[in-house]
Amino acid sequence: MNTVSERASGLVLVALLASCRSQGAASASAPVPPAGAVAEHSAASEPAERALSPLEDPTFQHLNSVGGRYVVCWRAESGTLPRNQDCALEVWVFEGTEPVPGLAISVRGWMPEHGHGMLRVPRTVDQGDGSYRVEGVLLHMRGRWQLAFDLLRESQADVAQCEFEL
Amino acid sequence: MTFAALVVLALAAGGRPQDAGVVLTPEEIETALELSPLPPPPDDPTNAVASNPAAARLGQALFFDERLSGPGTVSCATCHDPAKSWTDGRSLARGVANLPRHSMTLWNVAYNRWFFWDGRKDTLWSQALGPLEDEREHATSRLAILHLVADDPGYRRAWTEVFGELPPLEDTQRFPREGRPVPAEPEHPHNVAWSSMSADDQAAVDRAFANVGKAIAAFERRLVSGRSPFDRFVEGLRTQDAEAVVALDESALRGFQLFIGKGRCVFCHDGPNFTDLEFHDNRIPVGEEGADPGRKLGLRRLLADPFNSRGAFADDGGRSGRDKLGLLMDDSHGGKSFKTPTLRNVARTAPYMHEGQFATLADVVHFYDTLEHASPEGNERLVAPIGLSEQERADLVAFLESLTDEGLPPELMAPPPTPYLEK
Repeated sequence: MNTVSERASGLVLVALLASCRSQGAASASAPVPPAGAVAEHSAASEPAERALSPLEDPTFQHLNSVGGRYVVCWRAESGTLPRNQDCALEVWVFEGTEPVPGLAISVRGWMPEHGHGMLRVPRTVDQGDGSYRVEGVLLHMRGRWQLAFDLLRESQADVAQCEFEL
Repeated sequence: MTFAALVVLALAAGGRPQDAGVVLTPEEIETALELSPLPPPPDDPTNAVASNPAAARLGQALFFDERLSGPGTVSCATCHDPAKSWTDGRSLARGVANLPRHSMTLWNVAYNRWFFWDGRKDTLWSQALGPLEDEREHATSRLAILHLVADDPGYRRAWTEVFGELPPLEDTQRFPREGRPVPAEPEHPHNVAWSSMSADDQAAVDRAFANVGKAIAAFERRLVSGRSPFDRFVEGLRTQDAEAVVALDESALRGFQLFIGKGRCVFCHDGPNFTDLEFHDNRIPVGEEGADPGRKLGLRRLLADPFNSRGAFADDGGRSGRDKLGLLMDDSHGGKSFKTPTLRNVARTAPYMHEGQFATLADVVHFYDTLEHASPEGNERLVAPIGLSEQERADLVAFLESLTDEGLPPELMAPPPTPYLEK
């Protein structure tokens, strides 16, 4: 049997990384959207420039509702969606280019390969300007998630959906 | 930032090319780095003394004290024995009487979101209160415990230093020597005594009883697992230290690949504490006790518990509990969901599952591999036969064994010399 030092001497570590990211539980996250888009946004956020509309801002994900009436723009408030940590989402809803306040929005999370989904019913706060804060989102497992935004105005319902790997 | 490439070739010294061991993909290395090291436990805003050393000392004394039971024969350490990795080695727990579930280990209990197999508690301090008054566990009462603290000079001194004055327990007309609410049995002597008290005195006792739990929790927060061979391996990956990387032998390395790959273990046993902190119906065979509703009943009990995290005894005024409990789905779990336990030190905490259904880790792996004797299908689609070879089963066990640390300092494994800190 080899001793540890013998094994160590025989161990070849070919490690050769272009870069290494900081690690730990807190780092487990899904990029929303890709890092390149975030960098582009940072450059565009110079104080002298007008803030981008969420419709144009690549840090948001843009979803057409199934009924075709709305565009839902959403992103994690912290910039990345954490795995198994409470988080909030910033959500904007547009009809054409007009923000739509006054919707009742509920958010559902589902893991199709697992047969179950989010264990919570997040709370949505209407900010009154077409934006909504979705609080208490907890995506507790790694894997493929489907996120659905149920949109209800008066008695008319629509839904926007997306899918990502966490 | 992401890894571009990191390849580890573990070759036995003088080994032949076909011995060239395990090659981890960049994705596997990235996952390994997510699983270690274990960070410090999260804060507990519901417990103002969670990090108070004097409270931890008092809690340690209470934890090991058999006087915190009706017959004087059972302490927390009866089921959570430090010599048995903070569990009891039995399939089903035994306090004053037999219990229907297996004792969970206390390793890394401070990281939990929910407590007990069914999550019927949502703070560590509140968890500690439950068994004290359960007639099958400690079979004592909140009044009896507070009288013990008041009558024991060491406890009294420690208590005063941490929490201030006790209620005026010397007035046994107002504060009977035993008593607790037993709503299901109005004529129970404990309930009769409790009902004789004023609402204000009951509230004072409840606050002090919650503090008993908070002191015990302050101690239990220190039961954090240390570095294991897997942690040394991951540190070696992170620092490119060849000596550290060999902390994991080839079998364990292959087991790690199975754990995060073909075996699908990591979906539930995720993060540095190897648990997603939540509940799953993994079709565990029904044990001696018959069907167990698990989380379904646990959630109902939790929401009705006056000592839950949104109740009057949470030191943050119930803030953290409002969303934690208020946003929960009523029926989010299948029929028989149980909490995912940590795998840290799992090789020392046999037997396994909520009724100790499996004697060894090999038995656990065999079950998930074959689903032999599984309960009827639940909602967890990931649970399906895997098809491991004999070697792969052994590799998975080797990986699980690599999560074993070197133990805690002896001063945490026994009652302290005094319940208070010597100045």
